[in-house]
Amino acid sequence: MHPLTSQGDHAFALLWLASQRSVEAYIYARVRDIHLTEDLMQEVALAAQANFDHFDPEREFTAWLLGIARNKIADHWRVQSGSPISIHPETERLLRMASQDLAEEISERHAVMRDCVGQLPEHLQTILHAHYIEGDPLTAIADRMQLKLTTVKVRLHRIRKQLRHCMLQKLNRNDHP
Amino acid sequence: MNHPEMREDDPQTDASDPLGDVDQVHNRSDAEEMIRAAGDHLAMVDAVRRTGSVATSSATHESSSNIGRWLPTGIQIAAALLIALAAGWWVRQDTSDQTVVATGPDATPAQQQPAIDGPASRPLIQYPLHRGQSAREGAGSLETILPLTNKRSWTWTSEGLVLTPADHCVTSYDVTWQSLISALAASKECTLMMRARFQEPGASYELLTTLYFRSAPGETRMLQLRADASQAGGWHQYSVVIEADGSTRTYRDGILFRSRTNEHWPPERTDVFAQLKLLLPAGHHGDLQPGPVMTISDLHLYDSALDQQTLRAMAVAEK
Repeated sequence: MHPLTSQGDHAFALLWLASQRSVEAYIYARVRDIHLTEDLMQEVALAAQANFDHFDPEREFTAWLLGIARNKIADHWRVQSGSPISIHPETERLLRMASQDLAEEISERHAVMRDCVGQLPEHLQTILHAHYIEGDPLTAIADRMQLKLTTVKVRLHRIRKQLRHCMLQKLNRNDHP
Repeated sequence: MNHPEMREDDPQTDASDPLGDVDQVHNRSDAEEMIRAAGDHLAMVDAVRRTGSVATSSATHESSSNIGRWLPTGIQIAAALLIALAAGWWVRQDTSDQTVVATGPDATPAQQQPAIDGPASRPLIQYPLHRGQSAREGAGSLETILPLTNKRSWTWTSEGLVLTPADHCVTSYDVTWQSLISALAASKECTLMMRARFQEPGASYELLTTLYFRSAPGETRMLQLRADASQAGGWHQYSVVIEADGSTRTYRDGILFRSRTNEHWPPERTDVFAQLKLLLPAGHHGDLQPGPVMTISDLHLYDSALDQQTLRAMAVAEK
């Protein structure tokens, strides 16, 4: 790997920040595992940085990253002797094109989601944290919180509904200042 | 801009996969909806991580949770600058040390990683596995046991390894480590222990390290060791102890501060890959967030559930 100049580093960082959310979404849509998505994102970043000298500025940077991501996913499944999620080449192309075109929107939605999660009451954040960060199944959360399983499910449903509503409001507000 | 709603779900289902089946993508509109759903889900998980830890515990003692720790505007601007720096920094790989090690995980030539520098006089990692069919004895330093990858900047002191919020200290995700997996699958019990010192107060339930197990088809199990970083300054011994039935207790200096059930436990004999992440900071891929600066030392992994008396005795001995 050839070290970049600080100017190259800065240029790469700016481009990366604009594209990373949609590339991340593309990888997650393909592999459906957050930890694997994070690992593959790191692989993509390393490969992109290593080859940034060869990147053609006339090309779309997000498209270039998505191409690297597609190859990294293929490499991963090759090592693991096949993917548990089969995908038709045309479907893969559609997802990649969608990710490329939605880069700006996905970044905006990411920021909005952050605000919306922050507005959730503490007891609902607790459920999200236990389920999505600690990986607890709903039965374990119900046991620990001394709730019925159906209650936890309903609360999770309510969280999603609340987040949907919050995002719609904020995104529409952003569209119509 | 098109704002389709996040995917509707049935309140009676877990809905752990919020994206739906990839076979349902027939056209460009379907693909866009799936990418938005994927992005929203990742954003939600990232946002929950950023809120700090929200502990729900049946343990006898628990510090207050740390929700809503949002940054003031001035710091957000500074953080944005740091994000740009971090993104460039994160992807810069140090190739100055190309020493290749192959002990510990079953590293193949393709998977071998450069070792990291560290004082040989003070081992960072020891893992006496004293039970289990494939038990292994001995101790070693980080560079001879766990070939870490994706390293950023490291600061070694005579006390241990200093980690900042931007550090992402992991072993490669596709390294097989059959001896470890076999030992833990046979024992069904485990104790993961680490000494840590936080320089500034952090979350009351800060993630210190995670041990992942993965099967070839990609199913993931994990064991997390968390720490109470709400009080900074001194060295503390943190331990997570898992019994064969999955009951999990976290201790600080041998004193219980959280208990829960780990449904991911134990690893299956069919698991192939094991990965250790020493620190997974919030927003760790490009988004530098305020988080703990800590020094860590002496990671121990046992294939047995150490009792509280033993943990206390070990904590006292290390003081």
